[in-house]
Amino acid sequence: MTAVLEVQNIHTYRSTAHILHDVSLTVGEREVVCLVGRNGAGKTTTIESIMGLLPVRTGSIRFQGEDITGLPAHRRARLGLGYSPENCGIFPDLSVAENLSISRWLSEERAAGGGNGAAVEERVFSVFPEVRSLTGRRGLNLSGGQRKMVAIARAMFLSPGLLLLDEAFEGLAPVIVSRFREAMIKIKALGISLLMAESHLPAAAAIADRLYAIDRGEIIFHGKPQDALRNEDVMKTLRG
Amino acid sequence: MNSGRHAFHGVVALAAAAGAILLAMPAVLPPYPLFILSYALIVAIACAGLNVLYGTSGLLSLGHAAYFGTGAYTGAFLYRFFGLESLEAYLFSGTVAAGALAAAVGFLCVRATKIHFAILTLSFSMVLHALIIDGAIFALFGPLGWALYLVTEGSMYVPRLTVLGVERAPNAFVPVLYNVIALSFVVTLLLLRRIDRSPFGLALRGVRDSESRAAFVGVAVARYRWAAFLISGTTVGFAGALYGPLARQITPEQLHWLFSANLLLATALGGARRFLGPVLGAFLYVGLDEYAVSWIEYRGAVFGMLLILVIFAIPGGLIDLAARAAARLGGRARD
Repeated sequence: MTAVLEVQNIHTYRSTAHILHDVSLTVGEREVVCLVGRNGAGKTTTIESIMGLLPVRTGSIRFQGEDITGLPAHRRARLGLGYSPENCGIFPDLSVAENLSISRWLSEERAAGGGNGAAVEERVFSVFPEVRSLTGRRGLNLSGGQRKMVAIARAMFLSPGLLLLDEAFEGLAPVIVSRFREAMIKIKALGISLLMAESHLPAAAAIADRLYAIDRGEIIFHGKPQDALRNEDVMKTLRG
Repeated sequence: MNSGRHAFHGVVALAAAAGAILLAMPAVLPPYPLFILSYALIVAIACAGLNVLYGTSGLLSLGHAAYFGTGAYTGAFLYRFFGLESLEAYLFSGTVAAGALAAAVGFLCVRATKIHFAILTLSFSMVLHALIIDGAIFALFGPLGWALYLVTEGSMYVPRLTVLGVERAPNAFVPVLYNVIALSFVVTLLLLRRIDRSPFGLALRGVRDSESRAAFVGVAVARYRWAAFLISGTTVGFAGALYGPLARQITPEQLHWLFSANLLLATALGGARRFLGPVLGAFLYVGLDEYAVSWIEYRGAVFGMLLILVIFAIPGGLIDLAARAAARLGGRARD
């Protein structure tokens, strides 16, 4: 399997605090990979380092074979790294349609008039048909679940090769969680790889092809979800 | 989609109505009020231009007098030293010069935000003000330039320019210029609105609300800010270029930061978050300035207190109040 994302031995700091210690991970084509860990373990820092929102001190990040370690976030987005942060990052003052249209416009610009906007839109709404009925709503007036849907839909408008989802299931009602799980499977079927940061191991294990466990900024486990569930040390660390 | 088309027709209708009313004014208004209306339209163009940075992009510039002044001064220098006498060339040269200055200053300023951005823009405009008021720019034009500076101390005279190659009689000039200004006002606002509603305009709002969000969505933050700065400075420069032939006398006051501040205050008074807010603010500002002359000493205080009241009571500006009142009356006025 060829790797879409290769993170090699990165060290990341938040101001003077050394958060990530030698983190390496890979995401293959059409693969769902989960990064599990407790709050403060370094999941968000890892995702933000990959997205380019935090600079890495050492180590390298390659996306679809290209070294992106030094690229600013917007260049990474345009290369096809979609991102939905924990707080969703919806622009509160803009309507949902406007939130989506920025990404749609940027991706059409990237395709240099090769306008497949309608096809992309079709794909996005096939995963989240609910979003279609929200387009007139202001970002400010969305519920938590709606905000997450819009954030993922917005990232999909960039025609990404990889989606980075930070706490996609957090705070969702159980019914909606299964709805989201279904959506993740559809996204994967569309040929988009997923890297998801999750604090809840069973939720991650249910959909992940592979799983990394992170604690105190270090990867402490890597393997199949079932193996993680069987591994006493991992379970103990994740439970705290 | 349908509502978008509906809104578009609304805008065209509104612009046509505004254009028709404005073009009827020379027949109705006596010369002085027509002159004041011309000035108000110019300030409205400037405030709408300023708002591309302030309201839309969230960048507070204290240096936009530099572009207004550059727009006004460029043609005056070209007249004095190279004999340029046509209005079209005056407008063109002033707008291009202001745009070039905005491109250069903006390139440096957009690296900063918030108070640092405000201070940077202020500093650049103060440098330009100093270059005029100390005569350095006049000195570039040799002994004649320096002599002019010694006589006028930085002010410049603008003659009655020819419009489309025709020289106008003294009392016919202002109505003709007024028509040019009114047309410029309608066209500039339509262009700015188009930019405002484009994905580019939405991206600027995104950058305003959160830089990192805009970045991970794919927006090249610094480049977009620079483009906004360029559009903003060029528009304000165009307003300045219209101002020169109207005022006929340009003074360093138009380059002073207090003028920048007045443009900002007018914009905030009208409402920076709605497209027509700055226009309303500009009209109020010019109106207060002119027709409150009976209280001369107090008009600054009146304006200041009005602004304080607006900021505390209606942060969206007076246009927000008007829109809310209209909405309550049953209409669905959004701008």
